Formats: sequence, structure tokens, C-alpha cells
Amino acid sequence: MMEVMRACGVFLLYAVTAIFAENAVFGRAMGVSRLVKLVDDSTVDTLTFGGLMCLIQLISAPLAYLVNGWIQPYSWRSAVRPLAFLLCSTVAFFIVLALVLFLLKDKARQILAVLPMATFNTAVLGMMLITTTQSFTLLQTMGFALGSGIGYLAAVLVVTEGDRKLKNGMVPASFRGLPITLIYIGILALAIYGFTGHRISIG
Amino acid sequence: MNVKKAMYLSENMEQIARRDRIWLNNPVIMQGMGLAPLIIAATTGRNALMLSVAVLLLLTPTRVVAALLSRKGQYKFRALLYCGTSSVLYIGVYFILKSIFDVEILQLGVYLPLLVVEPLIIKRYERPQPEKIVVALRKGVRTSIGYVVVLMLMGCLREILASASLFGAPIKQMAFAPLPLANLPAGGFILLGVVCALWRGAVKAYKKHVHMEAKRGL
Amino acid sequence: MTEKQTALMQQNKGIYTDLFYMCFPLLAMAIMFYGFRVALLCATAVITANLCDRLVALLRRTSYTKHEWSSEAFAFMLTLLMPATVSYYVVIAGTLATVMIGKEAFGGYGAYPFHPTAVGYATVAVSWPNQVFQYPEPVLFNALPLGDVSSVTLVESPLHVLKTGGLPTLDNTKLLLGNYAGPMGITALLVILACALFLWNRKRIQLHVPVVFLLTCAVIVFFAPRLGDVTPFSMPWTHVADRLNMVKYEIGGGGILFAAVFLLTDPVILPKTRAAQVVYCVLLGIMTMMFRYYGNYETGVCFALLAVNSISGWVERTTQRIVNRKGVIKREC
Repeated sequence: MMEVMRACGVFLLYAVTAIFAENAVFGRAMGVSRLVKLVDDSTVDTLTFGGLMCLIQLISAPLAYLVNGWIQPYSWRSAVRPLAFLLCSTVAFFIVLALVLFLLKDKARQILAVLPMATFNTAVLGMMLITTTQSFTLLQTMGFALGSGIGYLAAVLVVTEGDRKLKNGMVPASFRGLPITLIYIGILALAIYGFTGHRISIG
Repeated sequence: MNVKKAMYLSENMEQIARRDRIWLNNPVIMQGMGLAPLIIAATTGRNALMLSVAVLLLLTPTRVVAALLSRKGQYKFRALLYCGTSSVLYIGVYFILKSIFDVEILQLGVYLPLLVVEPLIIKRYERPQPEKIVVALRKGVRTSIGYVVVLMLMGCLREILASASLFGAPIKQMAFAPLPLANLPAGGFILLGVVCALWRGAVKAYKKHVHMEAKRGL
Repeated sequence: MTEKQTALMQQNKGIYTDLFYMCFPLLAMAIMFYGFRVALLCATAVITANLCDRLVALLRRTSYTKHEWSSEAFAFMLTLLMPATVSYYVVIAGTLATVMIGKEAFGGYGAYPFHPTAVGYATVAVSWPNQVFQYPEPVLFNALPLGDVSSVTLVESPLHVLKTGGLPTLDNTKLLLGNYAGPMGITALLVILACALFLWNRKRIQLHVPVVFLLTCAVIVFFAPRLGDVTPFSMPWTHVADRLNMVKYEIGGGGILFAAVFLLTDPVILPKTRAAQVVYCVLLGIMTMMFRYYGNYETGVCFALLAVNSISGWVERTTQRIVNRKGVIKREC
């Protein structure tokens, strides 16, 4: 029982860390290019995108953990990691594709249009790279993957909320759009330093 | 400005701007691409140089090879095609970078392999029609140069502001670092936002100047 | 300046002027403890803020006219949040971040989504933590050097011991008068309370805003004090004296009272409806204590302000939706 509690604790700790302190967007700028497009794009449903990304991350994370274990003894592992992890996210892509087609049938088309974007992005690959290069255990990896997905979704929602305020027509012309969105994200990243301090997250 | 030139520029400004991937339609400044490595990894001139070499070696070949392969086979899973091409080419790029910069590439952390799925490299897959190989080559080269310009600018600027040095060499005229925050992601976001705003303002002013000169000529 | 901004300015006329003037009593206390250096620092900040406003007018190709005092007020408040030994450069850098990034980049008066002082403070705290979180010992009528302060001994705030689960040994008089090592303008609690009274009398602050915020912080501290002697999740009727002591030190130190009076009540970032304001203040209180307890820095209120400001619009809309649901409030037929 204690072991289970401890395991749940570790899982939750890594998940919460990935949502707040090590947020993919504010702490590591992963998926920012996609986020900036998402905020402006009214045709893509944010929750659908975020949900798909969470699912992709949860499926690809343990695959990446396994694959990393196989390539770890080799000196060329750093060169082939992106390819190996890309294959893991491809497997996740097809699993989610099959699930969506099976469960949603006619409504699947709209969701499937977003699936490649939700799979092949820096947030998903970045999560796999971080968990493997920092030698997380499988439990830590799963917690981090879940937190990373939720954290990204939270970031999208918060920046979308900010974008609502920024569309008031008072922002100077040169700052409208990308510049002010970047400054907005930067200030939120500053807020997170209140927890993490001023560490550089190149990891 | 020469009136004839101004009139030509004014008439064709949209087309010229679309093709100019360095100044008028920079992939970072105007389209917000390639932000992750720029904000997190490009904190010094040296890091920016390493990333620049990586992008120059990866972007154009990925685009050209993916364009070639898309003509040969199915374009249905084009996201996979572009990402797969870039991750295979990355293997060669990694060893080239390692031979040039040795262990220094570790300073880029996960942001070097992340280039494989950067929208800057693979975004072309979002268009439904396959790209012509010549167009892929031309756009690839221009986009690479445009990104390298911003990378080097940001890397050098952040190193000067955060450490009062350039490429590791202290700047004698600077007694202290003006803005240590420039080294951190938050500083990267804010600084890039300011640079974007200034660049866009300059582009807007240039276009206005061209149109005014053209009007003078009429 | 847009019509919306002009209308906002009319609506909030005089608020920032009053906030600016209410910084002077705090400055006076700081001068008593640290000498005229603090006045020079504040003057540097205010002049820099004014120059920023003039620069922005130049960039917008409009003539500079003094409409309101928000930039100067933000810069003044920012400087008061810093130690008396902070360098002039840090003050200037902080003011530039406050006015140019925190306010003008978003469109100027009435358009900023984050409190500009909080933006400036977070910038300097993260950039120069050694300067911002180390303080000189205050000595009545003993002046710090106006220029180089490298010879001055710097110490951590006595409230720093809260981070390690200890209890500060400050007596109540010192706490109320601000006679301990801390930021130059936010330790004199009696003066802050007097300023609050003045601002409330002038209808510049609505009492429920700081009260709800302080109450939330107090409740969290009472039920979950970070004191080594009190075990986590212990019954609230145990160690009552220690808990009340903790409430005294947590609320009295670290800028919570200053923020409650000077920062929270900003009319631009505060939600417009009463219900939303209450929810906003509760959230801010929770976030402030979270940053205090688990954060890297001893003061969390500015970071909490930035975090909660990002969702204030959503808080307002959600609260309104809940309040306007049928049956929750009686409607006139």
C-alpha cells in the first residue's frame, strides 16, 4: 500500500512540475510557434488540439522510454534519437488515428485534420527528449508526459485569454500580433520564476 | 531613392515582400517560426553560430528531399514525410556539427535535435500540394538565411546584455552586464518581442517611404 | 490616446496622483532610517518614468501632455519595494521595464493586462537577486552613502527565517515602525495603514479588496503555518499563540500590506464587479502564500499578481455567469 502511495506521489509530483515549474511553453518555449498560430486561428479547437496532444504524449512517452533503453549503449544514440522518437510518436499517431476513427466515425474528420499538428511538434518531441536525457524512470516519464500535455493546454488557454485583452485596439501598431504575444508570454514566464528561481532550462 | 525604382517597388511590393525571406518577410519576425531554439538556446553568439550551421545544413536539404520524395509517392502522410526526412538528415548533420564544434554542441541541449520538428523546417507539409524541387531549393536557402540573420542578431544581443561579452570575449567598454535577464527564457521572449516590433516598424516605415517616393514620381 | 483611454482616465481621475502622493510618507520614513540616498533613488525612478512618457509621445509623433501620473506612481512604488542599497542603474532598469514593457508596449494607460510595478519588480528581482534581496540595517538618522554602497554591510531580512520554519525575533514596535532590515518603503506598517485610511477616505480604494486579500492570506497562515514546531495538518486549536504570531509576521512583512493598499487596488487590472473582485482577491491571496511557501524568493506578492492578472478576465466572466444564473439573484420583472 505504501509503495502504491509513494508511486502515486512520484507520478503526481512530476506531473505538477511539468504543468507549472517546467511548463513546456513558459519554461522551455516548446511549441511556441504552434501556440502563437493556435491563438490566432479560430478554425482549430484548442481543447481538441490539447486533448490530442495529451493523448499522443501519454502513448509515445513509454515507447520513447523503451526505445531509449535499446539505443543507450551505442555511441551514436544522440544522432538517432530524433528519428527513434519520431517513430514512437508515429506509432502514437496511428493508435490515436485508429481510436478516433473507431469511436467517432463521422465526426472524426475535423479532429483528424488537427492530429498531425498535435503529433509532430516540438512539445511532443521535447518531452521525449527531456525524459530520456534526464534519465527519468518510467513512472516519472508518464507523470511528466501527462503534466507536459496539460501544461501546454493550460498555456494555450492562458495566452488565448491574454489575446482577448490584447485585441482592444490600443496596442501600438508595430507591437500588434506576434511581438506583444511574445512579451505577454515572457511576463508570464517571469511569474513562474517566482517558483523556480532563475535557472536556465536548456536541459 | 531613384523614382523608377520606387515605382517598380511600389507596384510589386506584395510579390517582392513575399519572396524576401530575409528582411521584408523574415520567417521569425513576420511568421513566428523557429521560436523555441531562438528563445532558449540562442543565448550566446557561439550557440547562435552552432544553431545557424545546423539550420543551414538541415532546412534546405529537408525541403528538397521531401519535395523529391513527395513526387515519387503518396503525399497523404506528408507530415510524416517531412519529419522523417529531417530526422534522417539530422544524423548526418549531427556528425558534421560534432566534427566542427565537438562537445560544444552539448550547450544546445535538446534544442538541437528539436530542430527536426521545428515548423521552420517542416511547415511546408501543411500545404496540400507538393512543392516543386527548384522552388523548395530557392525558398529553403532564403528561409535559412533569414533565420540565421535573426539567430545571430539575438544570440549576440543576448550575450552582450546578459554577460557583457561577445563570443566569450569580454567587452572592455562594458563594466557590467546591462540585463542579466536576457539569458533566461523570459528575457528571450521579451527581447524577441521588442526586436520583432522594431523590425516590423522599420519594414512598415520602408514600405511607406517607397510608396511616397512612387507617388512623388507620378 | 484612444477614446476608451480618455474615458478611463476621466473615470479614474486623480487615483494615480493620490497613490503617488501617498508614497511620500513612506519615503519620509525611509529617509529617517537610510538617509537621502532613498530620496535620490526615488527621484531617479520618477524622472526616468517621466522621460519614458516623453519618449513614447515622441515615438507616437504626438506632443507630450501630462494627463495622469500612473508612470511616475508605478516607478515610485517599484523603488519603495527595493532595498536602500540598490544601485541607481537597477532602479533605472526596473523603471524602464515597468513603464516601457509593463505599460506602454501594451498601449499605455488603461491597456496593460499586468500591473506594471509587478512587471518591473519581477524583472529586477530575477536579474539582480543579490541586490534586491539583501538589505542594510536601518539606523535612525544614520545616512547611507549617496554613491557607492559597497562598504555597507548587507543582511537578510529577519523575515527570511520564516522560510526555514523559524519564528522572527522582532518586537511589535519594530515591526509596526519598520525598524528592521527590509525593502526601503514597505516595512512601516503604521504609515501604510494611515495611507490606506487616506485613500479609502478619498474613495480611491474599496475596503473589501485589501480586506479579502489580507483575510485569505491570514487564514492560510493560521491553518497551515510554516513553523517547524507545528506539524502539518495539525488541529487549528493547537499552538494558537504561535499561529497568531505567524499571521502577524507573514502579513506584516514581505510587502503583503503594501501590495494590498497600493498594488491590488489599481482600477485597470482589478475586475469591475464586486463578486469578481472578491474571487480575484481570494485567488491572489492563495497564490501569494503559495509563492511565499514554495517559491524561490521571500516575497511572492508581485509574482502572484502577474500570475493572477493573466486570468482576471476569465474570473470576471465566470463570476458574472454564475451570479446572473436564474434564481441566484432576483430580477425585476
